Amino acid sequence: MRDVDVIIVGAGLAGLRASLECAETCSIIVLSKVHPTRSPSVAAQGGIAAALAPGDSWERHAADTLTCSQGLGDHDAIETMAKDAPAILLELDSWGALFSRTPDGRPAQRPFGGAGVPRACFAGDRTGHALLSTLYEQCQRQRVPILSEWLAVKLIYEDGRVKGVVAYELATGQLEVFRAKAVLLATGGCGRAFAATSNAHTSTGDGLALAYAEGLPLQDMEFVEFGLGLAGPGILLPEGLLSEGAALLNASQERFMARYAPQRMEGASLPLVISAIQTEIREGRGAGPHHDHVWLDLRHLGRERLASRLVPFSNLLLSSAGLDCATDLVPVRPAAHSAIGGIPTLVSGQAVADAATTPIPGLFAAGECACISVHGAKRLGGNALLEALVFGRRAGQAMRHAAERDPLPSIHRDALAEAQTVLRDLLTCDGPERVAVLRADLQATMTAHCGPVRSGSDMRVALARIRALQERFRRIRLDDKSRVYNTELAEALECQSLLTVSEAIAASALARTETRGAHVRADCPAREDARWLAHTLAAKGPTGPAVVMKPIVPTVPLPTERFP
Amino acid sequence: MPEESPQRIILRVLRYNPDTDDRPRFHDFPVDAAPHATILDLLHAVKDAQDGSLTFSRSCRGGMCGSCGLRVNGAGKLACLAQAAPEVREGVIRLEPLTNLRAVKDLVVDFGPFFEHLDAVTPWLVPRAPGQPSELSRLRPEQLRRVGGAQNCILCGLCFSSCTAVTHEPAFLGPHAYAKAWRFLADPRDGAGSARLFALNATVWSCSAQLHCADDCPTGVDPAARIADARHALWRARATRAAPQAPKPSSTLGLRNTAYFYRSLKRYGKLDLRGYPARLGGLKGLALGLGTAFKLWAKGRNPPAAMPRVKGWRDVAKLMKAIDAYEAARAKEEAPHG
Repeated sequence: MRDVDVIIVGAGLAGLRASLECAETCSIIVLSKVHPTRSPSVAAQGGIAAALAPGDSWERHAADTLTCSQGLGDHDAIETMAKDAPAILLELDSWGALFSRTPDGRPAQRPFGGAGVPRACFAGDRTGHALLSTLYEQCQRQRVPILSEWLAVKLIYEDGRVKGVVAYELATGQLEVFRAKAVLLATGGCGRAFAATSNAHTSTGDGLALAYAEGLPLQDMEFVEFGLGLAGPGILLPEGLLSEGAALLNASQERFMARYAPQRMEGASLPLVISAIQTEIREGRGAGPHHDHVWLDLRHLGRERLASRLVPFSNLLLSSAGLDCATDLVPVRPAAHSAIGGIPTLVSGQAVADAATTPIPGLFAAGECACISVHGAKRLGGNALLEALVFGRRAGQAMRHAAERDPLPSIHRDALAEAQTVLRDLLTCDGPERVAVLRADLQATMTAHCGPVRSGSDMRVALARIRALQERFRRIRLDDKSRVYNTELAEALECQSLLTVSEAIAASALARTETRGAHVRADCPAREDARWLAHTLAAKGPTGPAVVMKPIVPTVPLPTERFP
Repeated sequence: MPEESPQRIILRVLRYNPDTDDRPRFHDFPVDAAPHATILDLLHAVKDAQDGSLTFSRSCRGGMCGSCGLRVNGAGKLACLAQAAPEVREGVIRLEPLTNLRAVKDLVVDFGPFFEHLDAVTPWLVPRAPGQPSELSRLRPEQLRRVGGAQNCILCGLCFSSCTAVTHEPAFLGPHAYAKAWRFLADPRDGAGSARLFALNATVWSCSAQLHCADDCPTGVDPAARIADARHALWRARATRAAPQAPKPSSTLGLRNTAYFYRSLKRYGKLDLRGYPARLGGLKGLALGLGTAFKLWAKGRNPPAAMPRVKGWRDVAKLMKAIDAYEAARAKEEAPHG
């Protein structure tokens, strides 16, 4: 057993930022299942929002965020994030982050998503890489202890508090108990619950599953943002493609947007376009041998325009899918992009146990796996990277205070033995099922029944299938029985995480009988503020997931009416 | 778009299971490759349907995280960006782990030494002044021009794997490390300045410019060019006689070599190879010089006793002086402080 003040699970933007906040004064350990520089934060391309321009203000940024959230964002969290943003940018700059610059030397800011003012700072098309590199460099400078390729397999939750984690070292197959005064879950998203996703293979919602497995609730899991993805690789296509003049065609080569948005066609809002594509596929007009995508047509734009405006995208298409968008049709379909929901926390990053926001001592969450909530029902572009840094920093501060104040807890249960049993069972189990097959079945289920447009009957089917898959998981067999670098075992653990997360998503999506933001119900198309201006909390129950509501935090109403 | 049918390929993988194997061995996996499949797609197809113990690293599958480097038919590639069809040789694609790093299992290698070498170049921005600045820095795009591709590094290890200097020179840090050092050397905000540059003098000269790193880098870092940039900066630092800690021209073989070429070109407009090894100094150089002279004499090739200057040697000297002046002026604007 190793004793430290603070454990951080996840070494992406949120986890690393938190570590910098407490590494100087606390003993900390960061556990990451991949080397920190491989964290999915590295692939973020859009930008990080901050009200820096003379005509801009934190109030305006907050108002845009609140409006985009469809009323479901918590005012205190949004205000905090918008106020902290300029300081976060200043800090990144002082650490050497290589933002793109205007001719007069300021960080360039571009319009992004539904923001009224251009406020997304960026580094070419590699913003995530620039920020993650910078944070990693600072962690090297501060000699932050990071254990790479260690998976957290169990949260030690006992006597109403979190006391540590049990983690598995991929290189050796050894399990170890880490005891701490504070544990931060910063494990990112869970896009891999879906067949088509922009997310890395490693985005499997492990932190969410760790909390849920202990009976702790997950908030607003029904809100999953979908983007336009390349069918097959699932790589997210830049939203700007549609505003560049691309056309969308179904299997009969019909430009179907004429039936959904006859005026704006492909230039209609992205959620509308995504829903339209989903509907075309569901109603059997999808293209390809499996009728599971539509075509994006860029051929009429001509090589010159493609070369000047869309180079990184064209190159990626060519290398990862062998497609030349000047001559080929590009297969696209909705791809799960970001998880808005997650572990409910206060603005400080402290996790909470219920609708009354009772704090859970010892547990914190930040980044994509947390839900404070700043995004509400829909995320404003540029706020995801900002959220990770703002609340990673705040969680780090809160954990530092906890470390100064709290004693190291005593652990009574034999957490190590419990985890050893789970691993031994996985390694020795000799049933007919394979991890890859179960995972593919789950992804197909979630794509078909929990996609951008859902209905109640869809979610019931999804829940039943997930339950069946959980049963089948008990009869799994691994080809790889080794203790050394067993990636099949790691994938089995990740598959369990995905099953858990999927259950929470489907149950929450079934419970919320309205359409709001990223959650679109074909059978409940209206927004119902009277009943549903609240968060959902999904937790493990005796007969299946139970969903309750949690009030949002309104303070003084932000002056949304001032800005169009 | 006509649907193409899958192609039956043999994926020949150099496997290694530390539990059971005394050494790595090739294993053939037949797999049906979809028309635009990448190498990573094929690896997944084998692991998912045939053998779950096939072990490889991957994460983002979009060329951004640097996890999936390996050798495809001997050449370093990212599995997620390498299209399979062009790699088929008589029905087979050969896959091996990166070199210069110890294989842990199948295609996974131990990146420990790679990251340790990176540490040696102080890979973080050293602030010019203590404390948190109160405003954002003002940096015009041209001030960041010198950083260039050095900022793009995703630490994938392809350059490290293909580098013969890494293989043969234990002290050589690796193309990635020098590229990272350059990223900070070229950043006007960095306060480590000369110390950062002079620290490279001990090892950066071991690069023999084979340029495999430049060829293999998937993100345009061009480590070989960054190494050349660093060497050039070291040479210029000596030329200005700026700080007392500036590396003396005699301090390393690389600088002595450069000084020799420089003087030779200025004086003759060409390389003076007479006694070249001996001029590099020391008893070793003298022994080498005598040995070379003997070999040449044995082959009947005697270098001239008098060294004729090339026609227009004065113009060469003038050009070199002009370049020196230009670089000194630019160095003043761009010079790292501290």
